Amino acid sequence: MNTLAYFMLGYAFFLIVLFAYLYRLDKKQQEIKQLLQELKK
Amino acid sequence: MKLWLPISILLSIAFATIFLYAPMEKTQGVVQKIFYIHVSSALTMYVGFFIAFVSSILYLVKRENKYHWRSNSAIEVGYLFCCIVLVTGPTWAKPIWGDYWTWEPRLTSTFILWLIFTGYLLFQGYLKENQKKAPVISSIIAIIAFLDVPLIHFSVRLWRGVHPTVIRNKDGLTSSMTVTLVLTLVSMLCLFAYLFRHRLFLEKLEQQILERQS
Repeated sequence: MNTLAYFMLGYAFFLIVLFAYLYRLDKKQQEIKQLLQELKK
Repeated sequence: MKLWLPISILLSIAFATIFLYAPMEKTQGVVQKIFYIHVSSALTMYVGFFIAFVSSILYLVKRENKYHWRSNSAIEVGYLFCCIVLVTGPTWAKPIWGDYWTWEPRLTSTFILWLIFTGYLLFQGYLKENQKKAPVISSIIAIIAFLDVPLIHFSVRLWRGVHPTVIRNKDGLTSSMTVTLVLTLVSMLCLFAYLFRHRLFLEKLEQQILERQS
């Protein structure tokens, strides 16, 4: 692999990790909202 | 106001600066540009674990839950940046050192820190079942783990590791490289602040629900 490929790999990993974490936070938020609604009932 | 928008713009500007403005390093070529994301993620990781360290001490002194929640959230987001450091480092090292990993002092101490916090996060599920003991045990682990951070930072000088230290080196960075690094660092810190704030908000809500249920 040339240096450009390693460079792209590094930045791609950063973006993947970031979006995966944002997705996880969003999922957690949905779960909490659902729990809050159940508690209100 | 939606905070993700200015942070996305700031990150995009930082990335554009890395790709278009930062000069190409003569010997390493384009792969050297991983440096900006690698170093700024490492410094952001330090900030995250420092917040966890201070919050854990405050929890042990004052026994107020808000400090435990802060510590927990800072560790989770700091761990994210630790993962980025541990992957971008080897991707940069392979074409330059010829190997993804060497058991060099800075790499080894960072890996130890990652292992400690991996254990910490894995144990959170178990610790949540023991509500009374959980914050105390978590705080002690966070304080002990933070002791590894100064070791990581000074390991290159202490044990003469092969990891480069360009920031302290006067001839290490040109002015345009410094500008790019500072911009990337600022955007990473803003990203950390956003994720930390969001995570803390969820942590508070989750704890309130748990308290209501019990």
